[in-house]
Amino acid sequence: MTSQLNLKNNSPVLMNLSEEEQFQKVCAFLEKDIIEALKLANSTLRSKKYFQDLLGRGLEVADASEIEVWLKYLVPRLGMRYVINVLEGKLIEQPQKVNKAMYWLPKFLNRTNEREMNLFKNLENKILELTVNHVTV
Amino acid sequence: MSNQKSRTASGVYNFVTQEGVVFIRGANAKVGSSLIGHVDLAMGRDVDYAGRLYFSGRTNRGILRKWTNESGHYRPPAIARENAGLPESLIQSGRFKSLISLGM
Repeated sequence: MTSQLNLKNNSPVLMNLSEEEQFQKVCAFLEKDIIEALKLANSTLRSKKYFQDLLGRGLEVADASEIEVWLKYLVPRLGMRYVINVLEGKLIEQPQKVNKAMYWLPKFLNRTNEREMNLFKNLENKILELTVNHVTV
Repeated sequence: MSNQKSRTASGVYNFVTQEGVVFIRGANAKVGSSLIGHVDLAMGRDVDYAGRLYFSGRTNRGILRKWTNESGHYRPPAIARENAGLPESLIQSGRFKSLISLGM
């Protein structure tokens, strides 16, 4: 059976919609095919707010494997610094979700970007402190 | 299964090694809308090792270029690589170590 979620077929159709409508389509596609939906998001959406929303969804629903795909398509659009800030914000409430993302994040780090590297290291240290304190308590 | 076909590997595959047997599945393979991860491939059981296989594509299909310890579920350490049952000379690890452990 041919999949209806074909990027080449859907992209031109979506171009005629408003960005909000495009985002709704992307969200509907997420239920069927995560990779194609995220590719579609990259090829159609422009506003950062939609990618921020997608990152929130990814962190919420993805398992330890799938989160890699979400990061692969969203980090280039949001920037590593933004993603690290979001993860830091979730560290206390949702440490397991942060931990899942942190495993894959080095794959997308620009190692020549000192600021990016420092932010990542800081977050790693915070996770380490949290773990040590948790064990101590 | 009656409609199984033999194919020459090309691209990226997830693998798990269990009791000396290496099970593989395309890295983008899905069940419904969900990607098939290592834990699915292992059917929720323990593994000896898990990671990814990178095969050459197009002109030289079927040649294993490298393999890694990339697995968000199992996170196998590179030091246990011999459990994978794969050629050790082709492992490429380290990208998934934290910066702290790398001393950076």
